[in-house]
Amino acid sequence: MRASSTARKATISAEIGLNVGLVLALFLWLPGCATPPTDPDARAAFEEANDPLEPTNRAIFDVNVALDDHIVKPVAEAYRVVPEDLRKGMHNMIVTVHAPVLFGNYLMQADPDSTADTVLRFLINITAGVGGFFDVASMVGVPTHDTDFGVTLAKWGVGEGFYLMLPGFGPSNPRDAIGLGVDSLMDPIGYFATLLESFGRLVYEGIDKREPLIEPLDEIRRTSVDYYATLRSLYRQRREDQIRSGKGGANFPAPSISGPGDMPSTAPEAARPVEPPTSSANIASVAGQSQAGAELPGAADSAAGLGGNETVPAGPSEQSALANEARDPTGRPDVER
Amino acid sequence: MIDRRLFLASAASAALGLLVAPRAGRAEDIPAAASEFVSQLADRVIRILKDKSLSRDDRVKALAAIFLDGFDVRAIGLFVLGVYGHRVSDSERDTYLDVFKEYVVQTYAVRFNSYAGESFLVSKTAPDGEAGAWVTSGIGKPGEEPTEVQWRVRKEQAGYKIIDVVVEGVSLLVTQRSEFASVLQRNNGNVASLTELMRGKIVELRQKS
Repeated sequence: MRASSTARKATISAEIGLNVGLVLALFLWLPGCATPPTDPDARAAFEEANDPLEPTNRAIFDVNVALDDHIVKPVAEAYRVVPEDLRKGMHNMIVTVHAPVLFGNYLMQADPDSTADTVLRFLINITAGVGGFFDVASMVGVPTHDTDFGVTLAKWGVGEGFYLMLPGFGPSNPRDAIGLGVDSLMDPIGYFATLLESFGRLVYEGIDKREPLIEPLDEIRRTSVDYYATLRSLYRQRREDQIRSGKGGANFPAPSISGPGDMPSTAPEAARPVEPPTSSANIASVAGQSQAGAELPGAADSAAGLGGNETVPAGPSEQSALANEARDPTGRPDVER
Repeated sequence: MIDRRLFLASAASAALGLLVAPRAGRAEDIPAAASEFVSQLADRVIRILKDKSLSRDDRVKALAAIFLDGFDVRAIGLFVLGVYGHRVSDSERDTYLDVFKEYVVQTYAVRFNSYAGESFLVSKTAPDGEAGAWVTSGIGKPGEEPTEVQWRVRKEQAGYKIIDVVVEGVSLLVTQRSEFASVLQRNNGNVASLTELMRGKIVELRQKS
């Protein structure tokens, strides 16, 4: 039994190997690499896009979009016939059985809190949640987490490399593509399931992922002047956010002030290079602390309420209460706005 | 008797508060004021979305007005040209900015139309440089996990203006700049061709909406 499933796994690995080979063959055969432009501006844009395989990637993207238009999206739309509660339950099960992969990755990321949460979530949901159908863990306040081996590699200091459009899977890069393969090897279910079962699961996971994206992707495609470039940017930023564990602190660049009478105080912002190596948000908070330190405690609070009062007509007590609530990072104000 | 004393005391402290107020107000707390600015902007948007008496066109017009008032669309428009921004001629730039304004109204302001009773509340605010702030808010339907949206606000001559919106780690500014960079790179940095592309998109979006 075990021998046969190992053999099956070997078959799957062989399949993956074959696919990787096919992808590589495609890269060699298709339009190939873009030559870096000589014009300095175009060169800067080229380097920022970090997409040396762009012609090939775009060709694969076109195929992916066609597949999506004709197969994946219609299936995802049809899937909505299934009642929402049932869809949610099946989604929860998929997430629950994925726990070993999360567990392994959090261990490798040396993240004890998330590792503990993952174990706790699995134990609660597999028992009280009836085999993972109900997300009881979230109800009792054990937070959900998501990670993968791409994130683990990133935390180990591995860079993204360059942008890579995978056939079928979509936006990726060498690091995340390797992560995808390693995650599938880390998944114990893969060693027990038949090839057909593994394939079925992969298909189901695809539909489960695509269904909530029906409207957002339609919207992006409808409004963008370059759908491919927009998705490339969105993918990168989302991955960066996942690697930072959604804790913020991204180094977003800021536009320079426009119009007459520009305020000189933000000049450093404007002069900053396009992608500053240090986090502007962090610098900002440090600057804010030193600023606050120069003031008397409590003075900032009164100034908060009254400062707002100068520009907008509203009750002063309500104003400062609002401002104080807004400034408190722990307690979310319970006002519906 | 006690009541009257209490009343007098509170009246006195209120009067004192009023006297102190203008002086304390000068040292403006930018994060707090920015958070108030974002909250009021959201209030205005939600009020329009809830107003059933408005026609669809009127609603879009009102939303566009709030959008153009609350965002520094000019600064954003120039920024998203990226490295190609400096080689554009003045007249080309002005045309681009006009079309860009309409394009963002059509893509973003119109997006509010899918409003389904979501609530908006500011959860925290932090300074961003000397004249700016990041205002973090949650947007969501009751009973659902709210989506985290961060507003990058800057104090400018014309008052507080939003210069970027970050949704779950994705900056609209960065995304728009990447997209435009790609279009410009493929059109030899010709801003006029990007303007033309946006014009076509605006027509398309107007027809569908």
